[in-house]
Amino acid sequence: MNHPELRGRRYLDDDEERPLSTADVERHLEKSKEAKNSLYLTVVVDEHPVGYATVDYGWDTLTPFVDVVIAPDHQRSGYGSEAANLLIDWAFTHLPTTAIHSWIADWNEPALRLSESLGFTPAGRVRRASIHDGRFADSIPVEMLRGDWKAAHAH
Amino acid sequence: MPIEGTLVTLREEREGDAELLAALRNDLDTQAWSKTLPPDYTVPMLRKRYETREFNYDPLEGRFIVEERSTGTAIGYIGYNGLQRRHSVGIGVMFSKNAWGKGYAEEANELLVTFLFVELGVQVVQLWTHSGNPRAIGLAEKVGFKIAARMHNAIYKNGTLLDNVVMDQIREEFYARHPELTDGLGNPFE
Repeated sequence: MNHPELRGRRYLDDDEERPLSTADVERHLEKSKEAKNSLYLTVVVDEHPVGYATVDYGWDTLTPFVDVVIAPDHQRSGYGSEAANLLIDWAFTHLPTTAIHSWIADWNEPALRLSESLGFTPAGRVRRASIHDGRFADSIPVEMLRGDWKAAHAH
Repeated sequence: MPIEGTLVTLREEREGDAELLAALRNDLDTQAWSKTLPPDYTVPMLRKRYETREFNYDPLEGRFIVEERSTGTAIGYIGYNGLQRRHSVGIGVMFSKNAWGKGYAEEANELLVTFLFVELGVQVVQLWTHSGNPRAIGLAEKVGFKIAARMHNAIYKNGTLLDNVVMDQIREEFYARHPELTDGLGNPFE
């Protein structure tokens, strides 16, 4: 989780780009064990963990968030894309969801490209949402409506 | 010293405000941003929340009762939460319907936003509303907010699927609206 390439895209609660201690990581793991209204899953390839993926719908199953984090050494292998698709299908199949959201920092171009390839559409740009690399960074919420998902699965 | 405007004052919450706060929560038009709450909040619930609030030098939220200055009547609530110090914060507002249309909410918003930029030194103030509340969007635009994002079909209220509307205002925009004020902090990264 302290890999420099993952700073700012670890999708933890209260994620600032500070180094995490072992205790911090344990706290996040504990939280994920107790989490209600969400799935916290490990992405596994050939029995090796390569990342984690979450669906979090909080109090409202209409609009869950889907986030996927893949270890830098295992990126660009299609794992993130497949994990995201599995969670998207799960949410639209198991929850009365109208739209799935994710928030992506403006500098995170690989994630923006991935979201587009998965069928997400940008929903705007929220300014100065975080601090990254010596500047304020904007955050881009992306959405996939149930109709978009259905259309993509129609053929 | 509370935060004084021309029409309204923002002051701390008091025990006697529980009736107003319960009434605001029990009115479907004022109670919450996006989620319909059961209109069954009781005065003891609100009083308990007031009583359990602890002294804190470093709060990440602020809660204010809005008073009509001419009469001293409590007419609404305004507050901020999720403060990231010197960086960002979100605001929320609830006003009794009989106080709508008098410019009170606009002044209360301006007073709070001024406090957040000038005293707390944030870079951006955010608010979340929805497409079924054009009054809130219009009010926010009057005090300098712009629509930042619109998530479709994200909110269900009053029998309708609505868009979640995120609005924001950055520091430079606030000071551009207030040429009488000087920004002594600016953007530290520029």
